[in-house]
Amino acid sequence: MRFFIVITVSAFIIISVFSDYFSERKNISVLEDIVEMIRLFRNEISFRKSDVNELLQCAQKRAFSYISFDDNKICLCGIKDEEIKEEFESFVNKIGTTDAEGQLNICNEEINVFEAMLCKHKEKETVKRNVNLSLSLLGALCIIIIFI
Amino acid sequence: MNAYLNALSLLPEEFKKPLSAVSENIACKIKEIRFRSGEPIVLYSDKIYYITKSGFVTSLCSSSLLVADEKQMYDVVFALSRRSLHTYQDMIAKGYIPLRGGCKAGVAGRAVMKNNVVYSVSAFNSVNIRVSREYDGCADELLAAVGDCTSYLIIGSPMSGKTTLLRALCRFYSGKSAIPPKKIAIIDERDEIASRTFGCFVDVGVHTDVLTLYPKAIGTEIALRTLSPEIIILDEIGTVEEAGALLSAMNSGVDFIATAHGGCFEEVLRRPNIKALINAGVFKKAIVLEGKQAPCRVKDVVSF
Repeated sequence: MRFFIVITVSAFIIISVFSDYFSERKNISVLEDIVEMIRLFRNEISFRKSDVNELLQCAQKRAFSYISFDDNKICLCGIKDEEIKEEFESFVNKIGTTDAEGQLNICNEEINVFEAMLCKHKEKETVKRNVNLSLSLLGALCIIIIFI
Repeated sequence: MNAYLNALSLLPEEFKKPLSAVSENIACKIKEIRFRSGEPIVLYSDKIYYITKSGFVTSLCSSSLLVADEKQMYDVVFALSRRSLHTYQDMIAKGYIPLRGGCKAGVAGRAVMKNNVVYSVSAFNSVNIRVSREYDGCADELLAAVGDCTSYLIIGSPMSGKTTLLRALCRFYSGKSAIPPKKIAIIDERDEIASRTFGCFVDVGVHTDVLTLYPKAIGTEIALRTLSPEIIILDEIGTVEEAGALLSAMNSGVDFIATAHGGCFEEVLRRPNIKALINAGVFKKAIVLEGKQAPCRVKDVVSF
């Protein structure tokens, strides 16, 4: 009985910590996608003054994993982080609303914002990875002790 | 009807829906759709029409008409510019947005100046959507008047059919049935003649090269150097740069067909840049059009 309780509790802790870690990994991938997309938009606007439809077509060709372009709308797929969602929505609402110079400034500002978020999430991910490693070792040690 | 619907296609739904409901016999004659901030939307054909809030067409100006307020004027311009003001900023500063099928929206508002030129426009208070139509055989009278000459100036007041004629001339000189076809270069500074920017192509002939959104002077130079045209076509010439480019390009074995705003030949002669072109012999003939009452009809031909 004691054996099962220890195993269940250890598994629960490890799964919850790992899921947190994987959600952090996902946030990083999403942020990398966003930064790449905004860089693409910046280049297209700077070089060709592409309109919104052209920007969407261009981004669609890149096949981003976490950004969809259904019905000519740019959306994030399956992301739960409210901060990322809000910032992304604010960027999307600003596309096309100013002159080219303004659009380039917006792109540059947003790249900075999302890169700062990316750094923050990467730091969190490193911490969580270390915690995971420690917990995994601890869990393994507990199981070994129980078996002994 | 298609031309009218083309002109409406980019409008916000709140205006597109009632304007699309206009009956076909009225829609096929409409030349302009006018939005003025705080004023009723007006449809200009041979008569003047308004749209009621419930979507009916009326010729009576009353208080129940569809009106665009200041915010809606911005929405109209934003929608016409495909939600991309940054792409159309230069054109809006010059007072227009190219639409599908050769249609054009004139835009007016408060000018924002930078280094003594209009940099952008804010507080839009007037939008004029001009419906562009093709008429079979519209250039027949002009072609009969010019004969074999392929170097002439077409003079006409606004809405006299100058751009429509240019398209028809392109098809005549370089279309599938042209024998022998001529190589044409169109310098389409406002994307009005060939409407190539947005994938809604207007037929301007098989052997026609289109330089879209090039300033006329630069486009003429590039066409001459790289595209070996037999005829270069330009719409609404008149600036010093354009005259300079045509003067330096004359005697290069290329003919020019151009249009200029003017009610009559004498009026055009009062414009020094055009006078210089005529005096230098860039054009062999000038064709004066009747005006908006009879679009594309020839009033007078002047040979030099």
